[in-house]
Amino acid sequence: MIVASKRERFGYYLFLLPAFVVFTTFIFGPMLYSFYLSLCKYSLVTTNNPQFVGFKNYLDLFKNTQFLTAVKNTMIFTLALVPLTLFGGLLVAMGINSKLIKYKRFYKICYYIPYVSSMVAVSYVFKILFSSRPDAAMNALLAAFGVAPIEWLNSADWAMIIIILLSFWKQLGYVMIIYLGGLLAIPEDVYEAVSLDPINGPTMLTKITLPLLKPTTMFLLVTEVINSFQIFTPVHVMTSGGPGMATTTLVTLLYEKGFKNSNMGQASAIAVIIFFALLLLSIIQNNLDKE
Amino acid sequence: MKKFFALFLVVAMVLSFVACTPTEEPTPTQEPAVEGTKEPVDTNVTIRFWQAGGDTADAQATMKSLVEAFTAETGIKVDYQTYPWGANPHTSFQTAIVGGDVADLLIVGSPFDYGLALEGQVAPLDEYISEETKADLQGVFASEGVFHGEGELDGKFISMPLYGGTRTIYYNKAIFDAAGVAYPDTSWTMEEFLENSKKLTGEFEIGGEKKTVYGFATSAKYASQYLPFIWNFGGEILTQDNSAAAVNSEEWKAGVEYFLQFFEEGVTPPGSEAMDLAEQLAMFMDDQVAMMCATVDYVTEILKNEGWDAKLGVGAMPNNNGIASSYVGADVFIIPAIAKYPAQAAMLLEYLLRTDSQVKYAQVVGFTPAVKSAMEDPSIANDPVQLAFANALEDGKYYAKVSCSSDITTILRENIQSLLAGNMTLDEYAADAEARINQALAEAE
Repeated sequence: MIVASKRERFGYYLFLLPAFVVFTTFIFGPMLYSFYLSLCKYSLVTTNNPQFVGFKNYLDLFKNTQFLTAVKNTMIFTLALVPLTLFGGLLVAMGINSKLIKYKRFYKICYYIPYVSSMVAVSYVFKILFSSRPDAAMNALLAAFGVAPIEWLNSADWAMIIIILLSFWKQLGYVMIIYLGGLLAIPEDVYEAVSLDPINGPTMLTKITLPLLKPTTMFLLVTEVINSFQIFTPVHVMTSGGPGMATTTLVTLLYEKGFKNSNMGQASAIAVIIFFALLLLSIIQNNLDKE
Repeated sequence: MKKFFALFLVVAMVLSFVACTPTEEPTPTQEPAVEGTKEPVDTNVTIRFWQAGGDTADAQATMKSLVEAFTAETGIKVDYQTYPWGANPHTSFQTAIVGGDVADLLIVGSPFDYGLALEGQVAPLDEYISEETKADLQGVFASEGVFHGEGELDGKFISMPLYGGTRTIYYNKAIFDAAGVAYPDTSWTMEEFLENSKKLTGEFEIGGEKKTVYGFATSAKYASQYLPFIWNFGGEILTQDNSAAAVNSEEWKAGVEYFLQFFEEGVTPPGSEAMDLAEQLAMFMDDQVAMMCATVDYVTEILKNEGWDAKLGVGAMPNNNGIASSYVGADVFIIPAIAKYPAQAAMLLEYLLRTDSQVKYAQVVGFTPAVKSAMEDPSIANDPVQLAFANALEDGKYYAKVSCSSDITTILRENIQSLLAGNMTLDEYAADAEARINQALAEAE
């Protein structure tokens, strides 16, 4: 155990101070203030002080069909996207990691480019591709195969599917890179040792590769769930939450309440609910990881 | 080293102090007072002027030249900035107001002005603006800028329009000719409008090319698209005192039922439940749509393209037993309550509402002037497009003005789209919208 003198300890704290000040000012402080605002009636256009109303904002939210639909849509989005991205990312990573594949760098770049592209820009591109116009790109492609035009983003049945598809395409490269790192970290000796036994590919995958990738999977699971809960840009750009409430998610509702309706109290209440939902999910996932 | 550090610290502190000390105001140049005010106005100042929207090349350049002409005439310098609609200017303005540092003159989208007035964030314009300017405002604007509510602002002008922003029907004459349908006149009824839309839907030979045409492109995404039809049936969003929802009425439901027919009959393009108007405009330009309902700037954009001078017609909103309505949603001037130079901002406002300024803005940007005197200018008076929109303005009607207007817009959009998707019946739609609007009103109290 290293024993530091008082003077040394003071020095350490001094080094921590700038980061602590920044964290407190820009993250911890606003977070606490947001908790407080969620218990208040506060309009963005007023310079009056927030009025304390207790849990009214929360009670109003739970009576609001828009909020309940947003919760349902966010859950659907998360439950569809996270397994899809994790599975797809693992598959691509294993493919690229395979000794049979050439030009690995080229594939890595191809899969990673969407991740570093601007979400606003790609959302606009998808909006154009999936326009409901009969002569729009995707409908023209379908027409070539004799399929009738689809209303895509303007249809309550399709809009969420397109948003999931876009998010999957965008996120796949990130998951692939992390999984690739995990695969490369598995010592070659393990596979060499196993190769002495008569073990087939699928068994190797389920008994060796996947268990050794568990920490990577848990990390991706947590971060991807957090990301999915915060889905905003593609919804805002492509559908504004419509048609009807088909694509309204928690963060788009938060934005609408806070910045369009100036109802910062209710917007903060949604933020607090998202915070606790994610905290709970992270704790559960963490416990599963320990098991 | 320590001495050097201490010296450096002292010098830095002194410099910071000097930098933070307000510079001495230059000697004011006294100008005659603005009408209605007693004190002479200091013209040796720089005022800030922020415009929500107005960022298209033509609009921005025109406004800049008007602002420069104002500076040349009065000596008041103006720091002019535009905030594109895509960048949510209202949020920026709200934040600036809460932060206590906002421009002296703002252009905002109505009814945002009303929301700010409810919070006491705008200055009453009556003490700054001349009676002549007020009397010169086009029909609907003479009353719509007046605030009705509790507090000091009740009965006072809180906003003035930059232009007369309303919507009316415009059409593609080539499609009408191909379908053998007579061009609409100002007296057409809603039945005739629907019937013509059906006749104009189908396969037609336009300009030597076979086209699939939709009679009337409309979108359930925008309240401006369906509200005029509902108003024509006597439907209203709120009760007269704005205290409760009125959407569960027979009149409202009759209007919605009429609007739904465009979708059920397939006369509007597929996906119109949530289609952008810009996308429908592209279809209109491609001879795939016979009629649209939008603002005059859309018409101006169309007319910039070759051949459209002869092909484009501007009609009138159809009427229901003589009742016709058009949706008004103009961008308006406001002076924030915390403006540093309200009198100088009012001078700029009056300058921009002057006949010559309004004519210049209308000529370049295409919007209908907000003042009657500008309508007499030959360039406007002889322009059939401007006249058609000015006529529509006479039947103009504003959206519900309450603090939760934005919430109501979302509710109406969500519900009408759900109705179109077949997720609810008309009665369920109206009852649900009523309950949700009432909840929004209660929450906003």
